Amino acid sequence: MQAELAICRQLQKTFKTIQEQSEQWKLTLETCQKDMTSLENLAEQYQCCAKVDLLQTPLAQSFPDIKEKLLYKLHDEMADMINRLQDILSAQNILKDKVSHQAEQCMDLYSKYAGQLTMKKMTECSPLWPSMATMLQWVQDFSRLYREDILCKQHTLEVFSPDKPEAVSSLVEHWKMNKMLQQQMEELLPLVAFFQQEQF
Amino acid sequence: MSSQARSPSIPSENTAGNSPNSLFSPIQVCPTRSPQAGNLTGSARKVKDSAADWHNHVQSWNALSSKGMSIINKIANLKLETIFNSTSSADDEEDSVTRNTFSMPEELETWCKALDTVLEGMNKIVKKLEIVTAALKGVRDLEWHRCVGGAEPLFQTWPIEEFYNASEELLAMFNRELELKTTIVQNVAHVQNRETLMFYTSAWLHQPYIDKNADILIQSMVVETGFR
Repeated sequence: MQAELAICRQLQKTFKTIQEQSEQWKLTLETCQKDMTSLENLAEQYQCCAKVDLLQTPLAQSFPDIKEKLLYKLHDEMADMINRLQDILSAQNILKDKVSHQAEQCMDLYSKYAGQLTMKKMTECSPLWPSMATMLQWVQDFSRLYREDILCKQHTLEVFSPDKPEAVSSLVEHWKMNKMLQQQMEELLPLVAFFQQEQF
Repeated sequence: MSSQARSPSIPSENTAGNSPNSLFSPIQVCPTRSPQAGNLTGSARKVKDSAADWHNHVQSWNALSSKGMSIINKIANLKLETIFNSTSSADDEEDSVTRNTFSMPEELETWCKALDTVLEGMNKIVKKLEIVTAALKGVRDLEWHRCVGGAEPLFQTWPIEEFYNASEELLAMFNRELELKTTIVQNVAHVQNRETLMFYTSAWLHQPYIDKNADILIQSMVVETGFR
């Protein structure tokens, strides 16, 4: 009984953290959308400007260094935005570690008390609660999806290059809420709503 | 070794350099003015006003630049919609010849005139900036006469030379940027391809000849003169 209570308390704590962090992450990503639009626009400007043959324009004679200066300015502005996104991701990474740590604690507790918990106990569910095995699985899934999401976004920042349209579109595409994570949030979290209200 | 503490002795003028024990050369302190504050007069007043002028003129420049940007955007969209779309379907040589003589929509001329007005405003601002820089040059020359070298800080840390150098550096940037904007205004309505149109628009927006340093210089002047 003590084992069951300990795991349930830890599961409750973990689901609470997951819910809070996921909602916060969703809001953060929504606020980033403005930056994404700007970044996409700056990259488009960069690509167009890089294609221009300066010698074919009236600017060539009086402003021979203009292309270089303009591309530098655009690059600089995009670098500032990427740095800002990197900061957001670093902050989110710390929160992700918190979720991962709590998910690990759930599994550690299960490993600790595995001998005392029967298969029936672990897989038993009620109309209000999913089984402990199912909830442990969900917690692991959340943690994994969250980690993958952060890594994916990190990768898009690392490979970002303003002269590669595919890298730009990949960044813009991936800097949205991960669909799987969103789905897990919307479908699974309501299923533990009664479990979360319980006092252990 | 004596345990008695030795205090550094400053040699008197008579013994300086003569005695083998003299370790320090005499320190000559130029008579200084206390940092300027309150109701200013003279050079400090003039420099503080110049710093305020720089700040205000740059604000007006930025406002005009934004106004110009929205006009250029309209011109660009108009050209993209009306001209390039019409000519994109043209695949024979005859049609490509008509591209150059394509009748411009009347609206284009209106926007070009509006852009001209904006440029005129920017021209006036640069003229004012030249006057401010000339005034600072005058103050610098005056300070040079009053205190040789003019190295004495006027407010907190900057001597007059720094104010003048900053002003001159900024003026060079704005002058060059004005030349660029003039060229853009003269050519933006005659652009023949999308990339060049984007190049002009982008060059207007990002002001490549005004360095990131410009903002730091203006803020430094404002902070140094005690506005912030």
